[in-house]
Amino acid sequence: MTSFVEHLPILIIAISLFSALTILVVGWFNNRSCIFIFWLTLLAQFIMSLFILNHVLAYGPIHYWLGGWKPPWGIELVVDSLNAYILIILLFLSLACAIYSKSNIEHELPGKRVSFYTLFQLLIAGLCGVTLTGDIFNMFVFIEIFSISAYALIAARGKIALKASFTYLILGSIGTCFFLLGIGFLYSITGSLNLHDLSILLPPFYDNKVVKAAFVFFIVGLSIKMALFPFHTWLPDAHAFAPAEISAMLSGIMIEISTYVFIRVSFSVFTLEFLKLLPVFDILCWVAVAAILMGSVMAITQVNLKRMLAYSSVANMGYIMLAVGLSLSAVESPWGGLNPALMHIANHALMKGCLFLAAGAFIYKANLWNITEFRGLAKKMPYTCAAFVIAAISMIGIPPSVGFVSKLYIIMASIEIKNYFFVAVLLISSLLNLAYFWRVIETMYMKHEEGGRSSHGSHGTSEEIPLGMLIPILLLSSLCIVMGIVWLGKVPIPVLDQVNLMFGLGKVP
Amino acid sequence: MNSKKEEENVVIETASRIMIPFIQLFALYVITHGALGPGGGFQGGVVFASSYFLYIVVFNIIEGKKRLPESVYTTLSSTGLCIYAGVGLLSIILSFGMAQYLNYGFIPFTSHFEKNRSLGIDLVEIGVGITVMAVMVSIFFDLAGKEKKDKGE
Amino acid sequence: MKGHKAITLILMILLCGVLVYVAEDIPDFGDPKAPAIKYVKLFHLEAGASENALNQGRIPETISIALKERKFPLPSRAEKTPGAENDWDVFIPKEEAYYPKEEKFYRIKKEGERLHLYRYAFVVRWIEKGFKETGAPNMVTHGLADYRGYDTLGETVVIFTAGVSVILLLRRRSRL
Repeated sequence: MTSFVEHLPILIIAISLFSALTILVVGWFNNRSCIFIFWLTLLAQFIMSLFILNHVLAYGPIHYWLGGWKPPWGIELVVDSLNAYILIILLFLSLACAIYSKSNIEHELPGKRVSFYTLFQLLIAGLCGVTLTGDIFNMFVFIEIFSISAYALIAARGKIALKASFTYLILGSIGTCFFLLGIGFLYSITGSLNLHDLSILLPPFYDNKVVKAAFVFFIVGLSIKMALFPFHTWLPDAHAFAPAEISAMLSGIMIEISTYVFIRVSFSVFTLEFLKLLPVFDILCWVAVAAILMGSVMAITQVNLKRMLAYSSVANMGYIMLAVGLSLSAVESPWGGLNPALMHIANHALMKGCLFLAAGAFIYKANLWNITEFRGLAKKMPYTCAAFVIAAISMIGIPPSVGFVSKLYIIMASIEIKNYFFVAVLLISSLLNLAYFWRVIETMYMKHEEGGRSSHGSHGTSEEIPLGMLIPILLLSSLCIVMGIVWLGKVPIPVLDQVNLMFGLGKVP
Repeated sequence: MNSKKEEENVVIETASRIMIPFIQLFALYVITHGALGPGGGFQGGVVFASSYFLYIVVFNIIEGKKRLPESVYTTLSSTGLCIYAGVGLLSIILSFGMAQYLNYGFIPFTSHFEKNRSLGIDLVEIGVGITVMAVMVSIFFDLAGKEKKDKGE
Repeated sequence: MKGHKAITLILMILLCGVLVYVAEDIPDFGDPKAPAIKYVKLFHLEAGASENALNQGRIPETISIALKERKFPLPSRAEKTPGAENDWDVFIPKEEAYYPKEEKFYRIKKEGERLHLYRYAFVVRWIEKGFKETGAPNMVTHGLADYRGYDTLGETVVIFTAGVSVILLLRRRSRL
């Protein structure tokens, strides 16, 4: 062990587990103090992840042998630039949702606070565990942890949320089961479970039927968990009835960790030579195009705000998968290789997190679920509506916001391979985004409230949400614009270029 | 009729009062001898919980809740997992950062490396057994406890 | 309803079709020479004067170069497999604390004029040296709790999560 920073990845996961256990025990005696334990742990984890990113950029990947055994005989944790990047996004959005949930939890789930925070902390532990591992069976175990926490948290509110969570449970279990079948096939052929080991043992077996079937099982299983087009049906129901911060975590992080697992399995286990043998990524591009169009069209017809945002998530997963599919062919920097996909993972987390937290704020203050009831809301809650408008502008893709940058890079990548159909699809979907977001903005700002109907008693002209809920929303929406300028100034691109170099994509120097 | 029922009750109650300590002893045997024969933490924890299930089935569920109150089994389920994760942290701390997370060999119980490892395995299995037992009892109480019917459920 | 049943039937038939497609190439159940239990085949080379070098314990250049271009870890020495003719075990260095500094990793078989190179599966070390290194004669226990102890921690956390989920969803009059 060269330095203390090498111990930090496992400490992140161990601190999560300890704090979940402590919240359960301390919460029995003192109900109010569990939120502070939660905040302290998340802050410590976020600071540790910044140290890890610093170390990885300076000294290269961290290899940590758990139990002291060398990799084929034991488990190892591998942290390289891809892992560190995803970890920071994950912990930042979790911190924002945690600050938001202090005021929100009284309204949503009175009296169930302690077990809610325990499960929330276990969810974060599972997500960190998936990101920080170098062993494929370990990834499966931590996918189980965060999935079970998610099933329980979505169903937390009560009666009709149970049915929506039950659908997610059945489909999610089938997805995890297919992932396990893929692991089983690879193990029966090579006899090893380590990601690096599999990548060097598999090349003689590329024409083996078992390996091809394993790849298909991985794709289908992970598509169910990331709500890609034919398997997306659980997502709108799960969003419509979940608590607000869990919706933000579900759409902002959980389905994106599944895309991270997909990228890791395709590029680290089945290396580039396998992906070039079969035209799988071309088929993936067309499925992603179907997801984009279907998600955007279905979002226009929705009346419930959270369902509309859920279909918009389906479309955004289509963007990420389109960028992944194009990553084999596009080579110019800065839109070559996996750059657009990884950028959109970060940007979508920011934008969707802000939108879902704002939607939760509307429900908290005035119990407004449908868009038609939003009349004249801008006068009563000016800051929340402004944040919603900024995030909506970013989703549509107006410069210099963050959504514009990722769409620009995907368009440049598809221009480079001379496929103008994808460019047309992206522009059409931007127009459709404009259509359904404009409906909401128009109702909020331009329609006046019907006479005589006041929602929460008249407390003056501005009934804003409490400060604890307002700060995360404003922070995320201002980052939507600031990060857009940062991406355009090419500041974090060296991190992504290291990822491209590691996988062999992009321009060969 | 009533006296016959009471007679049967007396037989079942006495038999279970005799059997339950032996079931618990057997469960502890399964947990601690997991390294030598079949067994281990998960299996021993479930056998230990089954002794509580026998008690609840024979006597009332209210009697069962008196024997194992809610605060006790909630704390126990956290304690078991704390032991497991704590052994890992202990191996980092007690070797001043030289060893890795779950490297039991560096915890200085004895001076032999392999004996430290087997003691580490035993500690870990005890932790797993405690957690499994507490979670099984907790789920059983939640599923079986019939309270007065709440309105609208 | 009929549409849903038709789609489900088609999906089940596709799944069975994939499993039948796989059944041709998958190793036999319980085969003691299966890759996951004994060794997996890597590549083969022409034998030259390599045999003499291997009998003396050195690794010939051709094998080192072939291993390096496939990105495998480089070996340190070779010795004859006890109990078999024409077989050599090749060792690699490992940097674990306290345990012997080398571990048996590759196996070279000579069949006719060719040298076949295999790699041992990881369970070979668990079977042969498990009791000596960990002190637990039961292979399941030392596999679960020592070599792969982190996965057992994950499984215990899954059980704990299930317990807390039932508390959240089903318990009514409680302080939690």
